[in-house]
Amino acid sequence: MTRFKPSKLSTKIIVSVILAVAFSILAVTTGLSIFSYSIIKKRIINDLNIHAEIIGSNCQASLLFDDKKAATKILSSLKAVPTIENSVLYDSNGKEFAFYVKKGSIYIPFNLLNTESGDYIVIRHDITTNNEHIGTLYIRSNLNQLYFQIKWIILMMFLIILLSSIISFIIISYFIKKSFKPMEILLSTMNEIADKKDYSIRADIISDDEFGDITQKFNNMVAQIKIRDDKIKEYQAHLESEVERRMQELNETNKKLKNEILEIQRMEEMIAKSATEWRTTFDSIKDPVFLLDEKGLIQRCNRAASEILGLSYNKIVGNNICIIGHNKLQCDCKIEEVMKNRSRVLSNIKIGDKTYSVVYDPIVSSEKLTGIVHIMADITKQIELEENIRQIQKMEAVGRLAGGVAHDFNNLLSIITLYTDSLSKRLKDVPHVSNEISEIKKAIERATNLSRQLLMFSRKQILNPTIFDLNEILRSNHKMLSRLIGENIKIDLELTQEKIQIMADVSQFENAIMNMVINSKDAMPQGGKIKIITERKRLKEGDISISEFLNRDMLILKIIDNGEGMSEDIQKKIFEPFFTTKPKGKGTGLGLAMVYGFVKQCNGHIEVNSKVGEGTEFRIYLPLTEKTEEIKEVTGLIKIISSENINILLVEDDLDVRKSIIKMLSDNKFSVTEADSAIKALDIIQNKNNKIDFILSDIIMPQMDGITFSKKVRELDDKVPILFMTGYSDEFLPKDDIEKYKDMILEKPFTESQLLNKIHKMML
Amino acid sequence: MSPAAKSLPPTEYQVKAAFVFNFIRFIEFGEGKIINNEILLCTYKSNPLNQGLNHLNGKSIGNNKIIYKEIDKNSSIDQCSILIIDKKDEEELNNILKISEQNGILTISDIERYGEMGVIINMFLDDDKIKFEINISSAKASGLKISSRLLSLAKKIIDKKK
Repeated sequence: MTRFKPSKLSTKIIVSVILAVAFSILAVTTGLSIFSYSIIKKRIINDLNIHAEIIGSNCQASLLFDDKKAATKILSSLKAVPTIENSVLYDSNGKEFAFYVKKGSIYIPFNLLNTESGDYIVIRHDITTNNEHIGTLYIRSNLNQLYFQIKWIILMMFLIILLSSIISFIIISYFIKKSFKPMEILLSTMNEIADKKDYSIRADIISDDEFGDITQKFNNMVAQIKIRDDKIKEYQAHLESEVERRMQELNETNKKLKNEILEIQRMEEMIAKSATEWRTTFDSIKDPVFLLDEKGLIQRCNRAASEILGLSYNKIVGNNICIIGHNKLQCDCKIEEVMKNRSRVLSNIKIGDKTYSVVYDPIVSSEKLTGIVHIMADITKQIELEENIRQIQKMEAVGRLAGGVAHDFNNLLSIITLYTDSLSKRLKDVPHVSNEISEIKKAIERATNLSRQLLMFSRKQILNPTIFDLNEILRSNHKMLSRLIGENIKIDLELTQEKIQIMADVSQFENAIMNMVINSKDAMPQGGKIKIITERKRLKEGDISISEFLNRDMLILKIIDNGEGMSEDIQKKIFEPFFTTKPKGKGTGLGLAMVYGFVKQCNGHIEVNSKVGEGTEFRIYLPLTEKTEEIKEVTGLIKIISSENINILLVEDDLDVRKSIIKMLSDNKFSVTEADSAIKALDIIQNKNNKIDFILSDIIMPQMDGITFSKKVRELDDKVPILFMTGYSDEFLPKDDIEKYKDMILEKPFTESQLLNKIHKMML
Repeated sequence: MSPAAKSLPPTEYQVKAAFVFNFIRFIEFGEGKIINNEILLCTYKSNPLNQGLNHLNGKSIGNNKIIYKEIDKNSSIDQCSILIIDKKDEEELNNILKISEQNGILTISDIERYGEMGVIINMFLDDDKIKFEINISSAKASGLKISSRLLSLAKKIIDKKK
């Protein structure tokens, strides 16, 4: 909206009015001036005429009486009129009679003067008397008076114009200010309305003129606008709420759409990622995988598939699996069988030195065969592992058998030993008998050794593990071993600088090393070299055939010879008991079996690696220990206690063993209370009438084993010594308390002296 | 002025006659003095001026007409508007002047000291030029009004009453 500027309008009006006034005054005064000019001129002429009349009249007498002097005197009276420049009086003959010249002016004869000149007014006055011409008077007057008056008029005119303008300005300003006040109020109201957009504002009506009318009309108009505006606002509010509602709907839709788009994008990304992942995964599968259509044509295959066929992906896809795959690899194709049965088909095939398990999985959709997944899994290692497991299982079974046999054997040997000892005592003075008994004892000892070795293989022997430095043991046994194997074989030790601490039964370990060295010696009848190497190593794949010890610091003890070596078949059976390559009677076939059992019992592992003609390498892996052996102080003196008054409770389920032990104990003056089961033994202990000084118990018994029995005994009596007898190893002992029970065990078969020593030791 | 007069220089009497004629122009006579618009110019017969004055007979001044009349010593002068006085004895003069004064007659002379004696206008020669003197008190006494313009030309204004 263009701002109305009253100041400009009023200025225009003021200027216009003043100009009009000034112009009017100017016009009037100009007219007046012109009019005044002629009036003044006329008056001057009139005055001059009067002067001429008077002078002429006065000069009548002078002319009539020819008195020039008087005439000159009269003329000189014209000096009273300053505008008169000069005057000349002529007589009736036209002769100069008298003249007057204003001081400073010049005399001009009137016959020479141009009376029409604008610079002067010249009056000619004929002097007559009785109608008789007696002379002529000329008066020349300047126009100074006229000009002076005109100047004054003009000056006055300007003053009037100025004054009029000022007065006009004041009057008009006052008038305009008063007149335009309603207009200003209207304008400021308009501005306020425009600024505030508030159509409830009204302009004050302060005049009853046209402006008042305009203001009234304006107020009416604004009122109408307000009504319309309110309506528009109402519509607008409605529209806005509608728009807002729609916008909200739109936003929601938009949001949904965005989410959907995001979801789609996410899905697409997932699909792309899945595709990539699928491809990567598919290619990462080390087994060749083929995806076939229902006719056996290859749709897809992974990298391993390309590699096994030696063909690029593009050359493989589209071909029949049987033709391009199986025929090329020279193996059976079972596609037709899958098509026919629509069920999984498995078949093993051998390619080179590797064995593959081929899986044909049909893809059935709506009871129709749509494709086949063809996977070739390399099961070479698995087969090897299975073979290993089978071997281990076999060894376990053999071990259990051997252990079982040895247990019963030990019971029998116990009886034989005890009775032989008894017989030997009684018949020591009979000449032939003592020799025969001696032979029996030797046989018993051999049988006991054999039983021991069997137990060792079956890991049922009783061990006395201590912590020791293997290097130290090897160094101290070096000489003994060298002597054992003869001069043509050299034993070299390659030992680590630092100690190698392990926890094992030292004597059994020495025994095992000896067995292996003897085995090597037997493989080198022509002599040779044996290397014994110790090594500490954190095991990695390839260092060992089993996974149990991977990433663990282990001791590796290698015993290497450069002898005849062994075939693979022999290597497989080398640790089996009674397996020997030696001629009959030369070996028991229990040496390496014992080593195997011992190593396993020490939570270790043994491997053999040999090639015929190149020699053999045995590797024993054992866990390292950082613990140091506690030094046990032996205190007190061995006191020979009297067996008299000592009542021993014997708990043994085997009648014959029980009898033999009772006999032996009775022979040594012990009183014996027997029980064929732990439950009966507990009854005996609970009976207060029975005084029990020592308990000798078997471990493996029906109903209640020896360990459970001992715990029950401890509940009743916490002091009575308990000695276990067993033909087995310590595997029945509670693992937590193995140390506690170690000194409470006597291995079967035992001699009389062994038993008595143990009883004495425990009774101290 | 006649062309003859132009060609010849006017005589003293002519000039004096012209003066008399011009004097009449500036004199206002008392009421009733001029009857029938006739100005009666009386002159004694013996007066040499008559040679010029007689030309004035019939001349008009305004609506009035000059009537020239030569009178005797004993003639009544009561009717005269203007009386030209020639040389007289003192007694006679005083008598004439007395009658003239009583009747409002303009008295004119060209005799030395006559102005002092009581003649209203007395002409005389000065530097070969005819001059005149006016006895204003006589004029007033006679009830005559003399124009100031004429008075301004008079060589001497005699006012005995002062």
